[in-house]
Amino acid sequence: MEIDSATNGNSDTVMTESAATITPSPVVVSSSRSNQFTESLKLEHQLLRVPFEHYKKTIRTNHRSFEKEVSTIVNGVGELADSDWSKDDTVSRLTCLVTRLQGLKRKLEEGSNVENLQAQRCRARIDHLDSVDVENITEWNNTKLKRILVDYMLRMSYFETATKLSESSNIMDLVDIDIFREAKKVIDALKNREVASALTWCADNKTRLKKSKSKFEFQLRLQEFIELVRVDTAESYKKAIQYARKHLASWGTTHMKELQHVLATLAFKSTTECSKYKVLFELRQWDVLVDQFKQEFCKLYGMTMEPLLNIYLQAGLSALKTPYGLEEGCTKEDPLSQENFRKLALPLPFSKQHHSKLVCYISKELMDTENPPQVLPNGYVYSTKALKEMAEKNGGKITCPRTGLVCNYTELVKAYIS
Amino acid sequence: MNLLLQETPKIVVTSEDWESKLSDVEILIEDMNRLVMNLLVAEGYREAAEKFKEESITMPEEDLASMNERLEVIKAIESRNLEDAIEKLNALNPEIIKTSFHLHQQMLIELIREKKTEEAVAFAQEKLAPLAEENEALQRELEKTVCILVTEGLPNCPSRELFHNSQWIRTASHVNEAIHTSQTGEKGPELERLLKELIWTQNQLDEKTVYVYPRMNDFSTGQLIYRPE
Repeated sequence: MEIDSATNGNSDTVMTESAATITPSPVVVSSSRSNQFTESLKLEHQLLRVPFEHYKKTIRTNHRSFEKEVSTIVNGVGELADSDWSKDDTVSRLTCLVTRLQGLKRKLEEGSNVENLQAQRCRARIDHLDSVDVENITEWNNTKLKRILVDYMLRMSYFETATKLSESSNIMDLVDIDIFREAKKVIDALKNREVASALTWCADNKTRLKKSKSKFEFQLRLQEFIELVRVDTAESYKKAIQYARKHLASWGTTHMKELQHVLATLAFKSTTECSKYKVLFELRQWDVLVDQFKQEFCKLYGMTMEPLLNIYLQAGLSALKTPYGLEEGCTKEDPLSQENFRKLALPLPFSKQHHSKLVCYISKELMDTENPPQVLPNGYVYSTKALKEMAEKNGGKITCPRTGLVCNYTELVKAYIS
Repeated sequence: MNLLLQETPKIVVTSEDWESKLSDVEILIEDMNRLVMNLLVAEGYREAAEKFKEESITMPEEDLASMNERLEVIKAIESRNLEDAIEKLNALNPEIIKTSFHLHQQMLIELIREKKTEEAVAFAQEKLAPLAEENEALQRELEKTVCILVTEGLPNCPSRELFHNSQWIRTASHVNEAIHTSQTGEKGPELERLLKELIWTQNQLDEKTVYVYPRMNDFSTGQLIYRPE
């Protein structure tokens, strides 16, 4: 996205300016402000969902390994009961089982600690959302801004900066550094053209991925197949076919056409000039896998696909963007008068204004119900105040400043703004 | 003010008018017989062609005896005897062996059937990929064929039909057409070309959305369907 690259190039400036822009000045919170706040809470879905998903996953993983270990130990006991072991053998095996149980106990304690930490994080975020009120809304919004910045840094893999900001702002429980670290391991491996950690991640999340009909694992398997074909030896083709029979054939039920397309590389080889198959061997296919992983990861945890910073900036700039704001000489209070914001707003749509705002050519004042526009016989429009003032100074005569037409004040017609 | 868009006037041809116009078109019986003979010869129905020649006094464009060599090749393929077919084809026209994708496809299928996996891969790389390189339809065929190497064990393998006898008949048909084209310069039966022109013409009328006329949808019956709006 253009916004991403622009932001990367101007990170410091944009963030500084956005800090000034986003933080509202202290005001009395009216009922309309309460409504606005309620609306903005809808964007906090991610804040609650992410640690909860992480918590559920931890519980599931711990439970699964616990079940497996208990099952093994119980089977061990059963074997002893059913067999004619010597007394010494029995004692020896029971000692082993006891040792395993002690190990299991230690693991359970560690797992419990992790779960407690994650439950604490969920609670901290609920408390955070619950804590906002009239008196501390400024401080609350400052914290929110820092959360948004950390979210952006984490998605850009700026982990040290994110950690520093989180620690110094005391918001470690409100950000998802460890979750993004988990993602980074997989992303780094994919950039290094390794699929092992991504496949492990798929196995760990098998149920969820299957439910969402994800084909990310299929994509990984296809890429690994392609890497075998790339080697271009009789042995590697043999391995590629064995690999495909083991790991790709079952995907044919749902993705046959795509499977057939990739398998044809066995015939066309990596040296082919036929573009339909040549594209499959391009190294940027690994970049596609990285993007796909990011999407699956965000979807799994209930995160937005875009950084929160992008979302807030796009919403704000889109609301502020008008053709007038892009012209020279517009008011400096408008963020669009600054080059960096203009660049960010370039691909965004213009703000939708329901009503026009007319400014008097003579007095430069706004024309509204208290100062309505009036039409001269020649069709030009000016404000009532300015025209009345002119008439009083000139014996009831009006001189049009643009055409020089002279007429009586009584000849003017009131205009209405729709 | 919104302007009402004026509809393009439709030209409606009634069933009666259409039938009347069709009945005014005169088709010589000799021309129809020639088309039938052309089809029989192109498709290799020699005995039928000979009978038709006797009964309708329609002369084939080529000597029917010269069909024998072509028919021998086709017969060998339909009998699943690739070696014999290749031997006969080599004597008849070696160039066809080099350029026939479908003949090589059948050879590849046989290698796969016989579990000669490594030979199959090498064969596909050397012979089939170059033939399919610039033809999307052939690329699709090659994809389906190579896929069997991997998916043959699946209960619902969609390419399994390539192992059926119907595939031999399809291969024979392609080779027949290749031989016939090399001998006569004709690309398939003339009747096929006429049908394609008919389809194209109807599509042209439909695209302009101007004509309402009795349309032929089922070419096996030739029935006209009239659907006025």
